[in-house]
Amino acid sequence: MKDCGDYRGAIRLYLDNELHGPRITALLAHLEQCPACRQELEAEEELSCLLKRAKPLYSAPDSLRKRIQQITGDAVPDLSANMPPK
Amino acid sequence: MSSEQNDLDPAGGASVEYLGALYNYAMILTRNQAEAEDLVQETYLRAIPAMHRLRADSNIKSWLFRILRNIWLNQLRKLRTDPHIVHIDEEGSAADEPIDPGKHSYDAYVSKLEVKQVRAAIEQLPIEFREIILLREFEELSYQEIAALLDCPAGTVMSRLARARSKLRVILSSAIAGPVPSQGQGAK
Repeated sequence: MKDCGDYRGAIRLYLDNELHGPRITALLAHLEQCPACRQELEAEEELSCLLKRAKPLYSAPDSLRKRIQQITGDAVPDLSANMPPK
Repeated sequence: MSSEQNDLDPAGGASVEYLGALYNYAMILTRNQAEAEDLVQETYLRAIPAMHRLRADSNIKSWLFRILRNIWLNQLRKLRTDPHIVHIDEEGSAADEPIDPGKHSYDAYVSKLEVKQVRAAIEQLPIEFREIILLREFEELSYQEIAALLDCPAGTVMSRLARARSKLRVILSSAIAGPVPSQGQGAK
């Protein structure tokens, strides 16, 4: 029988969309009856959410956009797509 | 080349679509604005003439990341044979700053503070951890895509990612109020 240690890796795979098929079913069944692993899932989700809220870490300077624009001949894209969430 | 993904005339908009992602990757690798900008520019200079050779189902972002990474690795090799002092921007310049979402909003203040803390925490990580956190958490590449980019087995991606997250959690828990629980907390 699997114990919590076996599911810890599966929790991270699940959150990374790398868990498939019956392994998802098994993990969800385990989470139903294991508060400790649910807590672990929440902690992992919290870390990922925190990181995603910090996206993007850096904004490309306008001067670089212009340089690349000159190379590619592109129109400068909408900068708001790169803005961190308000 | 008929697919949407690879409808990439060098003059088309798709070629700058990844500029932000490339710049972030370059900053994570170099931690230096000027070097990051040069790295991104060099990536475009090499990528554009080669774009017509891409297959229709090619993953453009991964391909661009690979070019950028190869350029960076070559630069590192050159530095080893031609050593000189490399300046690292510890604080970053104004151009690096995330765009301010609104100076008079408390939420915006918290958000900006959080971004700074996360960025500072990531910058404390060793290079291989910074890189894998960026590729997975920020760029959302799959394990397979990361493995191909880093030229390592998927198992290595998983274990490195786990170690990187664990270390990042420790750093963040001491930096941010409302600590992020440590790995293994509550384990049976």
